[in-house]
Amino acid sequence: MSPTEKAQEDRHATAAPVAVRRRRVPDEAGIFAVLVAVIITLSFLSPSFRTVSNGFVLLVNGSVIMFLALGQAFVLLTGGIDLSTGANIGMTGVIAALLMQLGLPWPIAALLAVAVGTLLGFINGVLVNFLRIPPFIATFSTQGVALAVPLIITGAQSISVHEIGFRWIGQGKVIGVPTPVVLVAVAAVIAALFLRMTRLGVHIYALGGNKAAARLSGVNVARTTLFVYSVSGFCAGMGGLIATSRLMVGFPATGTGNELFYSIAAAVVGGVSLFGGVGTVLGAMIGAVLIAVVSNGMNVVNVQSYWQSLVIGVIILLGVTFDTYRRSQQNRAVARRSAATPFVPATPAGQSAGPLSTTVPGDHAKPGRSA
Amino acid sequence: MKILTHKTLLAGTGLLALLALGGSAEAAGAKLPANCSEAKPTIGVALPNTVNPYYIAMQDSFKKHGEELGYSVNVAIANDNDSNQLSQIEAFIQQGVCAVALNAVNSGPGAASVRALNDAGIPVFTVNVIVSPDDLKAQGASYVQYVGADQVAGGTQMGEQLLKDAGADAKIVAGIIGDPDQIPTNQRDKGFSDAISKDANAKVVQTVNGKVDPNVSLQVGGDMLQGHPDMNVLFADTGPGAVGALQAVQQQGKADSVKIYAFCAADTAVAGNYMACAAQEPADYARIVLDNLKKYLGGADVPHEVLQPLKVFTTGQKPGPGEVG
Repeated sequence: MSPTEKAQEDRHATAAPVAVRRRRVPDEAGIFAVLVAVIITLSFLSPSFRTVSNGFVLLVNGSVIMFLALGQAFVLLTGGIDLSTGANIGMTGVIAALLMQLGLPWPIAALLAVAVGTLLGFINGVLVNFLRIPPFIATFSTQGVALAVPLIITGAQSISVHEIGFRWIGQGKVIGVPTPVVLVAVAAVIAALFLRMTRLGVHIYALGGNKAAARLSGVNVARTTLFVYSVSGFCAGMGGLIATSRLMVGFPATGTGNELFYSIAAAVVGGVSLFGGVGTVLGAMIGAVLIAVVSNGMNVVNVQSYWQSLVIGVIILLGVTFDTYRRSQQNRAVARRSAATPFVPATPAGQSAGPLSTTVPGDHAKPGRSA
Repeated sequence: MKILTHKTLLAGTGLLALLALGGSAEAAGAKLPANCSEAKPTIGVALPNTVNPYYIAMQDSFKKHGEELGYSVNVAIANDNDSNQLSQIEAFIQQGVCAVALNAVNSGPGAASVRALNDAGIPVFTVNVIVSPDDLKAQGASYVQYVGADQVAGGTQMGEQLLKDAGADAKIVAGIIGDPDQIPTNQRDKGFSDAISKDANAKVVQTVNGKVDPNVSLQVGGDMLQGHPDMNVLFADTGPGAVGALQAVQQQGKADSVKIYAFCAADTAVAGNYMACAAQEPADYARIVLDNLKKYLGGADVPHEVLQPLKVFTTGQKPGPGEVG
């Protein structure tokens, strides 16, 4: 097995269980094809790119964005958005470092820090659900809070971590695979199964598909909203732990760069609709890996930094365009098929009948996709 | 106060244009704002951010030393945004401050702040980031004094140290973790590259953008090491970049093969493969600005440019508090 194949297999492992038992070509096939094309191109451009060690480097570098994209996917599926996740990374990272400096053992400090991150998400949920503040404004405001907290408590100084064990989260390995990659893979698998197999998972899609209909069908809107924002906060907390553990320094400005927008872009590129109700964890993870591959690849093949954001922008556009085109082709095929066999009730016709029929993950209406 | 001991001249744009042409520090003849005659004159200090420990050290020093000299110091933080900074400068003008110490967010846009202060007749001392001479000239603006590190010399010192450690004809494949969007960091890179070009076997093969952020520097530094398996030297041109460089090398298990030269990471001893670092002393620059400001307000001439050498640390040494890249 060539190193590239191995690296790709690792990527499959990230979210593979989601793709099982689909009758049609999975929605993610398009963006996956883009990812493969980019990997092949970069491998031709540089032999250094197609090594196992580089595969791990890029996945570890991308692990924070993958975590954020995972949490963001939950929020986007309900039709919300979470702008506080980037700042949450810095806040949880600094809190973890501070708690360790106070003498707490690292596992406890890590748990507490992630709990604080989750709490910030929970507060977002409360603001959105009970105070009816639009998610964009609510999470933008808490972003401000999360940015300020680490600066206030540290006076903008970075906090060194001396608990050697904490290294494991960002720098350790599990059976040869870097811990951050394992953590995000496990989280993605759990998240994907959760969305497919639990009632709350179905409710999340329902809420994003049609909030009023979901409420009337007995979906507990408050519980679902609080849950998705808490998940996003939890994921940001995990991102904070990884970032801090990689540096062994709690740095207040961590996560204030491109992380937030890359994570939203990753989810959207992967087919998660900004308007809710549509998308999968697998798609979001492929989108995040695509961004990680491009970011890493450009440095490995020595693209001048001035060009890099341009290239990332163009690749995101190409990915979404390719994907949208593929879907529209597919929809046309479905439409043709329904026209040819008018007496067989085709899936799309059934989709428009009841609000809840759009809510089953993996079985939602393709023609209704706005991506 | 001795401010009336020198001749008062017309303030305003005509004079300022003249000063710009002269390009000297003869501005001591200008009429000073009324606030300067008060018992405790107010000095406005405009800084880019308080995320980088560098600016914290500078801010603390401005406040502390300002107090000692009998000034009331107002600090404005621009959050790395040029237009924020310009509105903060406008606010200083509205407050009628006696003088302003300006650490511009960016070199070019900083000229607009200088110009606004010129128009208001408020003396400007620039610190750390040199305001672009071309833009100043284009806008007919001028400052009294610039205080900062000799950036090129800092890069050169690190390059020379590298050749001293490795040998004058050693094979060196160097990568730079820099910030190509900033003039001072590019000057450091140039100093470093020029210094090692004396060795025919040495070359800089790549520059990546660490954005003065340890996390970004760790990521792009790691990418660069993957792209150049033969790389044996990293030069990080900022303190946060150095933090990222150290972790990138260590996490790829290359501590034996890759040596690091840098502008000093805060609070980190120079040891192992971290061979040497150059430190600026932001607290010192703030002190020099205030001392010169006092002289200037007293009617004395001050030099137009004060370039401070960098302090070099080598194996076994540790930069003290406030000595950062």
